[in-house]
Amino acid sequence: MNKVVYSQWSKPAKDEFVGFNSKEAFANCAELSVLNSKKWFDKVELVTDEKGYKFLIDDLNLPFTDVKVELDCLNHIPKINWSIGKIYACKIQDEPFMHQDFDVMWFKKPPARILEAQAAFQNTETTENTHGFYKPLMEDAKDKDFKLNKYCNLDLIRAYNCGIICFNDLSKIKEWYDLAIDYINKNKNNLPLTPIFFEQFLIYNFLEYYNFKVEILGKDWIDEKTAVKYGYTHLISESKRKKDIEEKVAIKLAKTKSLLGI
Amino acid sequence: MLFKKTKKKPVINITKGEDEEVIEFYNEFGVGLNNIIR
Repeated sequence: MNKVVYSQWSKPAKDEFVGFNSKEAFANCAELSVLNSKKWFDKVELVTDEKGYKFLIDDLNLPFTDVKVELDCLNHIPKINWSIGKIYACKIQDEPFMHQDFDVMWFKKPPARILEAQAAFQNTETTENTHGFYKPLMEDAKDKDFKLNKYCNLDLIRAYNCGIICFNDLSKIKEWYDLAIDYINKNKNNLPLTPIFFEQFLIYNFLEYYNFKVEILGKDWIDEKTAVKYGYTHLISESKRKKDIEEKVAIKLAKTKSLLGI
Repeated sequence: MLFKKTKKKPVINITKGEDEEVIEFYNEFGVGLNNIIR
């Protein structure tokens, strides 16, 4: 595996710096992420739309090796389905890849067991901490005729955190996308977090159905010791909005650029 | 993508030098915060 993919579908975003406090905070984290990815992978690709291109390339000048402007084709889909942009970016790949969120950074080369796996993700999500998110969506699906029902155990909470999505075996990704689109088209509920259902819950069950050999960095969570061992950072949720974290990211970026001579 | 709704607690304590300066980060469920301070 020698390719990392980032994606940004602009339609769901309330602002350009999704989840971060400011454009600067987003830009610092995104650049730190991309610069580190370029240490370990020859190809670092962005999949986005016209608006995303203007922001990430024209404005921020993030140093991707390749850019695909393809996600405007999703703009007929309601913006609540924000994760479909990631799945689409995975679907159009034609070689082994790791999809990486902008708030994910590898400060060390990812381990071989991840890079060589049939598929790999950050960690499983099976504990009671996630019940509140998945359970209502699972119960709702039981009464519906979503195509994904065939592949999913709707009584067991089993999902993958998709901070990273790795595939060496690309054979099932289009079917994952098609199942997600079927869910989006038929879904009439107003439940929150439906995107995690057709992204994180579905992909766990779907790959299990096909007996994929899946690797994870950690089971249900990644403790600090493990994260340091792998040089892996994911500024999930509120952590990216903490002022002290923002400052540390800015300092780390400056150090990184200095070491790289840029 | 998800976060755990558990009680906020410090997850990193770094002791530096003789003054034993302790830097505490509050994890709001970020992973690998130690990596960005090195």
